[in-house]
Amino acid sequence: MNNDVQLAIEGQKECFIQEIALNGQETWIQPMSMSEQFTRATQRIDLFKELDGNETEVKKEAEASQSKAEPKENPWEEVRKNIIDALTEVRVLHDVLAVLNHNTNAAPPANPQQPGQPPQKILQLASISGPESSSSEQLRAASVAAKKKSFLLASKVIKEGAERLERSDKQPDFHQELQVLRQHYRLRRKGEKILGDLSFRTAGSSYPALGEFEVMRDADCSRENCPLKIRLPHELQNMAWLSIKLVRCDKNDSLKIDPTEQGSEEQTVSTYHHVISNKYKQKGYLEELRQAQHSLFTRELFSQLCREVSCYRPIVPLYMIGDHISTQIFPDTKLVIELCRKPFKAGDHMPFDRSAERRWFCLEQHLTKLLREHHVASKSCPAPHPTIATMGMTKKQRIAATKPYNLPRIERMKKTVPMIHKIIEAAKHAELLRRVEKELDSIAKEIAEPNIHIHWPIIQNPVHTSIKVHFSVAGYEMCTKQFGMHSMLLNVGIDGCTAIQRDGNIVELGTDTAELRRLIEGELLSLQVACLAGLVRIIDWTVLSSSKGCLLLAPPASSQSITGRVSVRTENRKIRVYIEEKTPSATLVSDLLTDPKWQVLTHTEWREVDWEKLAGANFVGKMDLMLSCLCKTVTDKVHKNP
Amino acid sequence: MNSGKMGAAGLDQEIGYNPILTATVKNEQGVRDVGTLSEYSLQGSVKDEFVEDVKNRLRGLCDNVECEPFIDHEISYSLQSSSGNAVTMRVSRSLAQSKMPWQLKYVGALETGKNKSCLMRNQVTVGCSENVTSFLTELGFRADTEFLSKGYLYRKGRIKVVLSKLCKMKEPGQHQEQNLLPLTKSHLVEVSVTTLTGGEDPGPDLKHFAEMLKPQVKLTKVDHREIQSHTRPNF
Repeated sequence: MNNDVQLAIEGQKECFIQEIALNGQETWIQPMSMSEQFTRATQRIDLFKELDGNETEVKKEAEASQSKAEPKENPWEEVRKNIIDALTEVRVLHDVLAVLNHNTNAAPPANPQQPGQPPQKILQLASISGPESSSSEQLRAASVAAKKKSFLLASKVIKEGAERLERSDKQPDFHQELQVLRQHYRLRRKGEKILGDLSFRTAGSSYPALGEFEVMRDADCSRENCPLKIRLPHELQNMAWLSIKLVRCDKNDSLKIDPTEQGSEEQTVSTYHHVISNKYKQKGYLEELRQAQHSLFTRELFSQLCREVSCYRPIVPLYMIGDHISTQIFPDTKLVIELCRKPFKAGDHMPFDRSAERRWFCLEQHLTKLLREHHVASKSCPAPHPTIATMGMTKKQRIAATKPYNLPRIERMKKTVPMIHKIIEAAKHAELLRRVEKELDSIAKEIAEPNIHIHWPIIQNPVHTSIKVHFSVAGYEMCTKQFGMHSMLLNVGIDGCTAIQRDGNIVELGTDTAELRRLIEGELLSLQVACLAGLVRIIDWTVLSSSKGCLLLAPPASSQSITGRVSVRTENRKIRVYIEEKTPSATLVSDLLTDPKWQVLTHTEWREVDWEKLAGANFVGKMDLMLSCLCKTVTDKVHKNP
Repeated sequence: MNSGKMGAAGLDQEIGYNPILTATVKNEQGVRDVGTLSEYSLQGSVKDEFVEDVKNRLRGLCDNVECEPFIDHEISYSLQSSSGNAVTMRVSRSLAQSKMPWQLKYVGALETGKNKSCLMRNQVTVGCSENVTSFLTELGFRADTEFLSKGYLYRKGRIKVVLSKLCKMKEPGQHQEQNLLPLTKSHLVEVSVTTLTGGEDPGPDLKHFAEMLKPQVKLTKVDHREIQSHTRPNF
């Protein structure tokens, strides 16, 4: 096989086009001839520089001119080099493909020589499939093989990269952990140490306690295979949390601390433990830092409360003993705020105390919110304009300088309500709400008829709640609509409730829920009577007179009834029904009143009906039955109007 | 109201008009503070080119609140008394927030003392209405100097940091941007604390703050009397 390859070479034309004529003919700028290049090179030599006498410069110039001289000798050297490189690469490719397609049996197909054409040699490859395979199939096979190889190479690279990533994941890296930590806390470098800040100073707190921790490298990865270790200040190594409770106590023993309460850790409650720490599972050091930050916040909160307790002198005394603040909020209930401590162990779960009132958690959250508001307020004091004014005044206080306010008004501007006052109010409200809720629930359970619907608001205020109570009689709801829905708005405040009835009456209730029960029972009775009043209009009886809880009915005019009027009254928290008996006209009692119509006043006998024995689902139903039975015939009106 | 039942101890119902006492620093509930206020301060200056560096440093050092830009117009009035001493009063108003009351400030003499780490002087600052200028003129005060100060206000706890550029107005009454001429090519940095006289000395706090600003600005206690005794340039 003749391996000679003939190549056609064209020198790289670096001619620039001078102009393109209208007929498309291009005129090229002729490249510089050798003599022209030489002239240019010599022109570049600066004779004056040489005269100044820098030997190295002269040498460099000589070298430069020499390198410029070389292309003169062989302008094709570069081109030759490139061609040789290309040939080498093609040979390598050919060898690779030959190796891939090695088939010892195959013989290269002879190319039929066409007469008249110069003999051309095409690069022959050993065939894959056999001597009969066409060249296109060979090419396809070759391309498939090439693609396969390139895919193999690519997959190898990707796999290597993936393995590298996998390996790095398993190995703990100090810097990666540090980066994770930096996303949560501010770190700074002090000499050789890395210090972090977990205090609330940047959020507006001015608590002087130390909140700095140190980040250390742990080469042994002693804990959880983590190369990072945290060193906390001594005070923050213990867990601290606030526990707020409302406990029953005897009327005179507000100071007595129940010995069973102290020291038993199961009884102390905290939102932090029951809700937050049990849900999140974070890396060891992050958990440590979180509990340290929470402890710091709790300590600040408690110290603020203690400071207020010592300054503030309410009418009901506050007692502060050690880590324990307590006060009597109602004659039989006291509020206890306690700071609890425990050494911290990572991964420790506090048992969930199901008997804890959910409202106590709300109080704790409220207290936390109050301190945060304090922080925000201290940070957001408006700046003084102009700058020589005193700092720290609110806008109202500043403008007060030019307003005609008197001294008490200005003093009131400065007054801030202490946190302890706010939390006591919130605790009172929570306790009162709990009592109202319990009472309403028990009433609703006891009294099946009429129905009581209680609507609670979704968004609640820590010191005020409005509850809407609706009453209705089953089956006869339409009857009450005529007189307006029977409902009551109950506003639960701090020291008592206010009940606003539909007709506008406002009833003030105290903290004792028996009053509320009485009120509701009364409301239910009047509801039933009102419902009956609405019903009788439908069945064509006439309401002669009505007031709250009393009703006098007359039978329909156009029908004969067995009896006369019907009277419904509420007495001693029970409904009593009386029917007038039609007695024959007796002798006249008085000489003055001769008209028989006045007999109504004296000659009537009222008989009580034991309505509970009647058939019917509820009072109104029973009355419905009774009244319809009392009429002999149905009125004509019903027949006439279809 | 419920708060009335549990209210704080009754305050003394003094019937007396003493507006100076009501201009007090914020404190906790109900405690009346009777006494004069003093201002402790340190001053320094920084060239205009380096103001951005100082601002960045202050942003890092001071409280986590945005710096407050301000424009104040200050006029100083003086009254020559018969004994030869001059009484000076300063009137300042804000052009950035023109609804805020004007401020009238009296500054006492510098308290001397070699061991004092910062300047200390008695001061009384009150808010007043806009006709204070005519009031002072009626009393016999004459306007002495007038300038505009523009800059930024930072705070760190009770420390007030004022970074300002003093300008003068080309024409009296014209305080638009184009009518202002800067008086110097630098900014004034003043760090001050106003507290009750005789209370805790805020000197060490100020000194510590000055140390932290040292690379950018050198804050010292400048003896004003030395400056004042030189001939005053005509503005």
